[in-house]
Amino acid sequence: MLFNSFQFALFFLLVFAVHGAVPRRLRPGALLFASLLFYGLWVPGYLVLLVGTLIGNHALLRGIARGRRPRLFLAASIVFTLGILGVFKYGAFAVSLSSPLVRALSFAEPRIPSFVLPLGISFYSFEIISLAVDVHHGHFECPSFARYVLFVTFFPHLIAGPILRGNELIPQFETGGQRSTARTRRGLWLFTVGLAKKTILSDFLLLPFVNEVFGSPGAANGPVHLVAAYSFAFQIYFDFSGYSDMARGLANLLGYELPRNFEEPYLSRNPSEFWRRWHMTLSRWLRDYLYVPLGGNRSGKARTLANLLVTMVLGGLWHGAGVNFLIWGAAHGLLLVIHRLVRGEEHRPKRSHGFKDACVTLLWFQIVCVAWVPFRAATPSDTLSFLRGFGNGGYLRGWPLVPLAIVLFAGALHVLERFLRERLPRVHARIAEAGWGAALEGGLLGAIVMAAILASGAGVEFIYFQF
Amino acid sequence: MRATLRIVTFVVCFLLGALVVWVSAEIALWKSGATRSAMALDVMPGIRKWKREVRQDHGPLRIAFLGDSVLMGEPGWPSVPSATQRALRFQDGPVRGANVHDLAWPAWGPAGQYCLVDELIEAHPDVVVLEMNLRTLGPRPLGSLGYPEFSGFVRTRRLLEAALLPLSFAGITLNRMLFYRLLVANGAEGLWQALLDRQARLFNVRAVLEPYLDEKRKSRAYQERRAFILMDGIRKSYVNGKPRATLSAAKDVLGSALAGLDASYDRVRVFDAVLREFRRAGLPVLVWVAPVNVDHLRSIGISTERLKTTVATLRRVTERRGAEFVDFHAVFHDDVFRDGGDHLNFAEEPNGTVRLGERLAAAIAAMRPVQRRRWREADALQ
Repeated sequence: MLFNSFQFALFFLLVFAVHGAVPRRLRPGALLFASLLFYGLWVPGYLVLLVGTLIGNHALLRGIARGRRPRLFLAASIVFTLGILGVFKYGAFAVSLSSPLVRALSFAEPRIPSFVLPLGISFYSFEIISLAVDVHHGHFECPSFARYVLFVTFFPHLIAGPILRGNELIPQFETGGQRSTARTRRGLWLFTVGLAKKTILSDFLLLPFVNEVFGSPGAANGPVHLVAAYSFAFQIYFDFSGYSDMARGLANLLGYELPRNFEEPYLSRNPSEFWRRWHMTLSRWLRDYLYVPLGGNRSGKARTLANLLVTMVLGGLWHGAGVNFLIWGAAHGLLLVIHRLVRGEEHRPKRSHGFKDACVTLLWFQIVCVAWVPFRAATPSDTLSFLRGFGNGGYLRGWPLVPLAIVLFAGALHVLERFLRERLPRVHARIAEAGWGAALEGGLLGAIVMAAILASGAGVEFIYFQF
Repeated sequence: MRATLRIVTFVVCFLLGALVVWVSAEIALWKSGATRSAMALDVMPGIRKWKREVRQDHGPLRIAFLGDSVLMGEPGWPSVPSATQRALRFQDGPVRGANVHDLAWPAWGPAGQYCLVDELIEAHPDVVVLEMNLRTLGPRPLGSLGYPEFSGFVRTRRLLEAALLPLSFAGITLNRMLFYRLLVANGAEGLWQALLDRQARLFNVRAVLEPYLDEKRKSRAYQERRAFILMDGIRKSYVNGKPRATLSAAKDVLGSALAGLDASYDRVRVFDAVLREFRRAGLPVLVWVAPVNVDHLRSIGISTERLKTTVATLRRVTERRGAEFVDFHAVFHDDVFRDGGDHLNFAEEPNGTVRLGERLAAAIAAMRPVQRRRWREADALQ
């Protein structure tokens, strides 16, 4: 169920109460039951698939840990997991790509399989693989079956990440969660801010204009297309970072910590920095479990650049089974390659943001927005139509004022996020000590929650919901 | 004590903050005058009225006509049910005095029918005439057009069965179903609709704001943008100069039926569940397959051979549940269709609506339960 739904609110209130009431040693068990219930309340049949996948993979994980032919068990685990992901997520795509050949050979129209994508399959598949690799490399011990299942199914992060490593979450289960007033307050704020980002900023303010223009790519003038590209960039950011904040907030409320997934990515100055700030847990997964095993930067310049490109193309494909996602991944791969060629070894610019940095940041933001077009467009031909739309008419008139104002507002908030992230813990501590702190927090949170409820419209799903 | 005071202060201020936003939203709605389009729960009073009318009909035969926008006409013009009613008057037997009670709204397919089947059965019609539109078989997910709110009307005794049916293509997940059921069972659907109404109208405030700003600035930017997008939509809905489905649109809505379905397909399973409920209630059902513009599909390079496989599957499923089946999917040519949604024309010749009504009237008159009624009446007269 969606985090921004009444049924989830009821569910979580119950879980929060029970989790707090049971003895600490029983909390992991309560969470496990709640997580399986959370997943089963979507499509019960896919709970069977998930549990079956975990039973099989845990058996293979024990095989890796036993030390006899660990590589074979690791390979089997990866093939098994990616096989299931491949069938459900890429089966229809593969059939449709091969249908001209099948048609030519057999004169029959191939039947394109129709599966509902199991919730969170892309995320939990990657977590299963990362744990198997970590156990194989000796970075982590094979957990018990119950801990393993809870690690993968822990409901705050099950449907859309963050993508975790075993050593980030499993040890926390041993303590049964460290609930405290400070953590509860932080969790409430994180969840509420995430809810506002998702429902108010992404769905209410940005989404309608994005849908309008991307629904008819190439129809309107250049300024409309430009503002739509900016709008989508912020829409996907607030949608996904909002969800991640909600996930972290929920985990905090239960006494657990999840890692950050975003650090103001649109304030990046180059592609390398962007991928250190955007969907950080996916980036590190791709780096550690794909790029490095491919050879990373250890096999010469040409091979390094090829590894970068392959990693990003596969990363694009992870986001969706479609040619547009391949194009998006390849575009970012090319940008990384070009950046590496221009800058030499991986360049980490220093922190300060002067005027020159601001110009570079704005320039990189334009490039990222153009790169988002294939991600959002329905088909490659829609992508081309949209890109052609940038050249429709002049840029002196015809600007969509309200959407433009919303984009500027979103940009200002994005900059403010950086400022607040660094200063907020101190501000928060001061409010907690003040006599009027409870009143201020209560009033603000109540206003934000009601605004989010009223702005909820049709309960639009997270963009990454069924990845 | 201090901690309790802080919690109480927090809760009171939380509610006050929420109230301030609620009141502000009400003011914004009042000043903007924003409206909204129809929602799923809007139709519930109509369904209840429909039930009353069927129950209060003391005529010789009460026919419940269920379907989607193919049945819905334009105001002032004949619809398929009204054309059927007219044609029934030319048939012999009890159908001559039959009353057709139609219930239809856009994209109302197997999922929505499954959710409301108990409401439909409670109307106690004599015969159910159920449209099967091949377009509702996908592959495009129905999302909000699956009317997930209707899942609240799945009666408690059927919840377990419903939980195991593949309804997620219609946006009906188990958690939604349970939540909506909780609302309906506690008479809270009105409150829920009031909230949805506010959300929908607030969503439309922007549509009021942009033209207002244009007018203030004496600009046409918004109007031009809307005009370009409208023209693009119209252009895309024309193929070879006629309002017809494009290749991608046709594959999107008809792709599953065109590929040839078997009974394991999710929407066919839901359709089967609908028929099962009617059978349990002892209601005779006539399933008819709505016309598809096969001429147009062939003209844009789509093979329609496997539609027959799909129709054969639907026939088997229907007859296994003791219902009757007629197939109209390929009976009409291109000239009776009026748009890319395969809706029939009603004002031109040949008149698709009237022709379909005539065929349906003949099929209803030929139904075994209707024939048995005719014989019983004839026996009684002797």
